[in-house]
Amino acid sequence: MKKQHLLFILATCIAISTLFTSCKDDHDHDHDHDHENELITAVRLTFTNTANNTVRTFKWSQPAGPGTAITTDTITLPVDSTFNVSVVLLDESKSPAMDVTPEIRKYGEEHQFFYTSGTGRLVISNRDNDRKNMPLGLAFTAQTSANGSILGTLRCVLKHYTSAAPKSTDPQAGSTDADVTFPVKIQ
Amino acid sequence: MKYLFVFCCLLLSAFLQAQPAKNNQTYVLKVWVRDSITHQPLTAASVTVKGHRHLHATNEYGFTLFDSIRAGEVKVQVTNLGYHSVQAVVNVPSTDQIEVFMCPESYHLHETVIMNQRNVDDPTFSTQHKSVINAEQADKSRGQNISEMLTVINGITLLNSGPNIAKPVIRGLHSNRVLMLNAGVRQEGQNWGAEHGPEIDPFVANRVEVIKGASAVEFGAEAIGGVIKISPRDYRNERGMCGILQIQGLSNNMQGAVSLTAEGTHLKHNQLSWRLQGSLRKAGDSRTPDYIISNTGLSDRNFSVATAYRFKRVHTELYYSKFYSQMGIFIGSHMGNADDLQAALKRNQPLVVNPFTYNIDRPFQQVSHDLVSMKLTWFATDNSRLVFHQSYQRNMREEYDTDRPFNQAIRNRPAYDLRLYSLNTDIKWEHELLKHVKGKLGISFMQQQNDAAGVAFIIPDFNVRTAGVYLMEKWEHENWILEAGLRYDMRWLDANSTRRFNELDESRTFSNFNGIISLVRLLPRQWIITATSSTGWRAPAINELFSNGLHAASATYEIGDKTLKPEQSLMLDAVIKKEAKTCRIEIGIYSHYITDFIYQRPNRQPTLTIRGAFPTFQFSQTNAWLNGADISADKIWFKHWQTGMALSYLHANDATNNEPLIFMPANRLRLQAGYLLNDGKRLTQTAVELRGNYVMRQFRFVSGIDYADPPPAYFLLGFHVRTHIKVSNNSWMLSMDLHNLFNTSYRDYLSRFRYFTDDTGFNLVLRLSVPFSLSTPEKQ
Repeated sequence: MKKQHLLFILATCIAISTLFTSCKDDHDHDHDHDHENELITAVRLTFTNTANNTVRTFKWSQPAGPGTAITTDTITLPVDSTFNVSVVLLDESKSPAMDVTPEIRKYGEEHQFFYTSGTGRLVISNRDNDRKNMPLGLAFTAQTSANGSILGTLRCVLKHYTSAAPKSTDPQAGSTDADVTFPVKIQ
Repeated sequence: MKYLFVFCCLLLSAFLQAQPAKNNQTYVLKVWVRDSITHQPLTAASVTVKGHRHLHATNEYGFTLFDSIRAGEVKVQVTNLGYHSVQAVVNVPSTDQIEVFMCPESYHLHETVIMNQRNVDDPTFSTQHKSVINAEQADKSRGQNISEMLTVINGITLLNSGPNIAKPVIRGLHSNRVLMLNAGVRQEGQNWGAEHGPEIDPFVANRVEVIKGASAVEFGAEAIGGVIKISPRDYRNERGMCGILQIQGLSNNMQGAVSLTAEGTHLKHNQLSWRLQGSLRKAGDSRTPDYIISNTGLSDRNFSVATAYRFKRVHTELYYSKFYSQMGIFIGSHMGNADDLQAALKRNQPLVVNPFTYNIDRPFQQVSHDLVSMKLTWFATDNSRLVFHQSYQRNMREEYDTDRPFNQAIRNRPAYDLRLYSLNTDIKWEHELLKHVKGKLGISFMQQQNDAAGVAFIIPDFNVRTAGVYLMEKWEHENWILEAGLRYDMRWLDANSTRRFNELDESRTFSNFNGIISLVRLLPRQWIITATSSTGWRAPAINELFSNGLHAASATYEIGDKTLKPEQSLMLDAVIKKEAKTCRIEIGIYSHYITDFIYQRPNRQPTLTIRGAFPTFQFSQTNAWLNGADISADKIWFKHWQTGMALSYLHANDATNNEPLIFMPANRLRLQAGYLLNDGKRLTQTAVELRGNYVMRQFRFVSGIDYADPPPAYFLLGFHVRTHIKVSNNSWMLSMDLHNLFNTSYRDYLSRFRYFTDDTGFNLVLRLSVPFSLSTPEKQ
């Protein structure tokens, strides 16, 4: 009787402990835990003039990480022109620089770029769409109007969505992955 | 002059009254009452001494004291509901302490032991004032997590990160300033984080003791805010097997929880005892009165096994427990940048409100905690013992943010992946030096290793070694107890990181003394005064030294300071307490001064990043002065009516800048009234209770530092009903709680998500405890 008791306890202990220890621990390695991290350091806009196919690129970058020096190109555009613009996000702290734009396109439903022009002389339109026909904004059209030179800004915001907080055209929805502002000069 | 004379007369008469009449020599008799099966102290057992006027009730340690007993044979009678009453005759003054073991009525009357001992081993050694949650109270208040249960104690509040994650705040201090002991082992998790709740199964806790104040001598540096000691059930001492099934249901988040405990004692002399315990918990989204707090589900699996073997003078104990929890974090609390945060602050309700679900999506935390401990106790003599306690803990914490890396290879990796391995060794020698002096001499060591990975940087890898040595002695004579203790600790820290932009390799050594002096005076009519003066110190935590990066939950940029010095604390604490059968009064006042108090100071310049500008906080030091009082009283009127109140007041100041300290709990008042029904044939201990909780607005704050001013005061009404149902030999406990009866919308100042969402609304909680016997105890 007593021995049966003991056996019963032992068996239960072992059974339950193996059950519990095996249900977690999907880590295959304990110590080679890699320390890979990711950092977006640059936003590059490429403006292609639809009239003559001239290409100009402008970059916002903070190569040494958060809180360090920032260099920003001034977006200088001629008056009365139309441009096809594409955006690229880079991690330039790595060599070679890593382009994460293909991943943004692949998970287009989880991302959206918003562009806000600080001047009425630069108009943004025609953001491209993701596979579900929601705006994505990896490419868009920019148009400058006539009437001499002016200074302004262009703010690019990349929003991120999850299944619990799904994509919406409301610029406040989602959480912000990137938020940079370029100075703009139209001349 | 005349007044002075009158004053002197009054003083003299008071003095004369306080002195016992010299010609009638009287003595003190101390009585401890315990359950003969579980050896748990029995609270509120009635103790009478023939010829003594008053009926006494035991306190939470099962203790009561009779003063002014005349010499000679004294008849002592002890009665308690549900137990066979005990009578004994003792000889005063040759016996001045007795320990009474009472046998539950559900068992046959077996040996009711009364031991006449000069030196009964106290359940807890330190004389420092403790607040206790006993098994019955624990059953009544078990909620969503371990911290919630602790708020039964006046002076403890919660630091919440959504409905699932809560940390206890003792008199305004929390996280690294509060030490938790689980089954006798220092809980070693990523305790520095405000959103890292303690990794302890609430169903394990059978008894909780809280020391509100610095008590670092016994438990080690860091415990400058207090110690929370969580104990599992005691081992079964009676032959046979039994168990308890506990079931819990909550309406607010559709939570279901079940816990099963089985225990037994075997072999010829009952040398072997064991206990198995497991619990499961599943909860969906919580809701406020107006909307669902999306993604606040919870899933828990916990398990523990304990065995004890007693062989002559050596007791061995082995304990293993596993805690595993997955906790959803409110979707609206993760902020991309300061603009997102500002937009969230302007909304009355979160932007994203999804239908109720049990699913847990990003962001969420996944934590597992293993504890293995081995304890050897050698009872060298009747009055001394040597304890060797070794434990190993593994804490694995993974935190998943809403933001996923773009890089395919690491897309599903957690933002933070922290693994903390701790090895603790404690050796202590409990001894009796002289007739009235007892003490403890101990050493403790810890080795800890942290491995920090994940796609974001929060803290570096580190190795910590600590060593401490302490001595405490207690002198006890008649109605006085004096205790003094001294401890010396050393702490070596090596931190390193090879992360891009966060490369570091630093070593720091900290060491210091701390001490305690405590004086207890036992007064007539069960009044006890305890006065304690204690010091403590705390080395800066890893995040305070080295953190550098974004905090998604608060949209802040946090910067550590590797030059931080340890905090030093000095606390004065006085408690006057009365513990009688129908009346309980406790008045505690304290003054706590902390030099080099570490806090987050806002930087004037925000940190600019590719995500936008972030408000930036830098860890820095100031002097903090916390003064306060915890006052509570309970009384039973005319056998049936019960009323109670608890008031907690805290005034916390930054003494250097002479301004209020940020994030200190608001003052609060709890009132309750209840009715105890007469026991029926099947229903016993039936009671109904109405509870009101009033939390004032924290009016002491510096405006402009925090994102939002403290929320307004709120009042919550609760209702509680419980009964015990007799089913064959056992008694089932059934209780129902209604929390936030009026479904009031409110936000608490110490809820870290108060910027984004209301706190939870109405909640109906049902609890059922079913004890059972697997085999009936054999007669001895």
